[in-house]
Amino acid sequence: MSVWVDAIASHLTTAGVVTTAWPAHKLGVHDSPDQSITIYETGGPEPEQASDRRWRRPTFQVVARAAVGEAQAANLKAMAVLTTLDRASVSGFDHFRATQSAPFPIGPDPLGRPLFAVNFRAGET
Amino acid sequence: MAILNIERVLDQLRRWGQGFFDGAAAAQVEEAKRVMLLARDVYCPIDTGALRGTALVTAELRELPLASADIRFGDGIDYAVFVHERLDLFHQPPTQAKFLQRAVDELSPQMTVRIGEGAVAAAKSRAGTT
Repeated sequence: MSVWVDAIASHLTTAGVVTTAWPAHKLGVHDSPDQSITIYETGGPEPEQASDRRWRRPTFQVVARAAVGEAQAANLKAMAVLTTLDRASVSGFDHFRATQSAPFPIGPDPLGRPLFAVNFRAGET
Repeated sequence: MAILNIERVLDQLRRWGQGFFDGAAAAQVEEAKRVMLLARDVYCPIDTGALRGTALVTAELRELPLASADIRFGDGIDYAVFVHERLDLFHQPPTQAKFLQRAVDELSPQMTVRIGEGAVAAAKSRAGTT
């Protein structure tokens, strides 16, 4: 499991966004509980060459899921993710930048649960 | 000291500058097309083909040196954003979610180089130099 995705989950936990009621899943979706936050690594462009070093610029997506009929809760949780991670520095990466101004719906999932997503870009320190 | 043919030199510089910006704008549009084609023909998932059929590049050439090129997918298709953003759904490789982002990420590192080359080539052509 990616160390830096773990660090993102830890950062969200410290900020009180990931909780026992809203657990974090990394790199995979779990059917339960309904309320969850999933972090996906989405690659990003090739590292940027600067002098003798290459700087990674990874991207990732965070998805908040809530129970059926609780779209507002998923939206609010995704917004909390956005405000917590935008401009944050986590484990060797800084310059986290949300690439949307607000979460957007990408669901429902096959069980009818609402999904809201936010995408981010990061830069290596 | 006198500069001979000053009007001719200035005219050539003006043509060079105009050619540079025209070339940069044209190269920018070509880059947008390159991204669109890679996204559409390689990475965009196919079911009915409707999403792939909405690939579109629009260019706006404003007062120089301003130009912009937009790449769009999914006009009139309400599931387009889900196909692009749902990472828990399987697509037959090489098609994938994030199909447009993948194309942008893949081509962007050399994009400025190609635009610069296009600008310089157009400038030289316009000014009659090589």
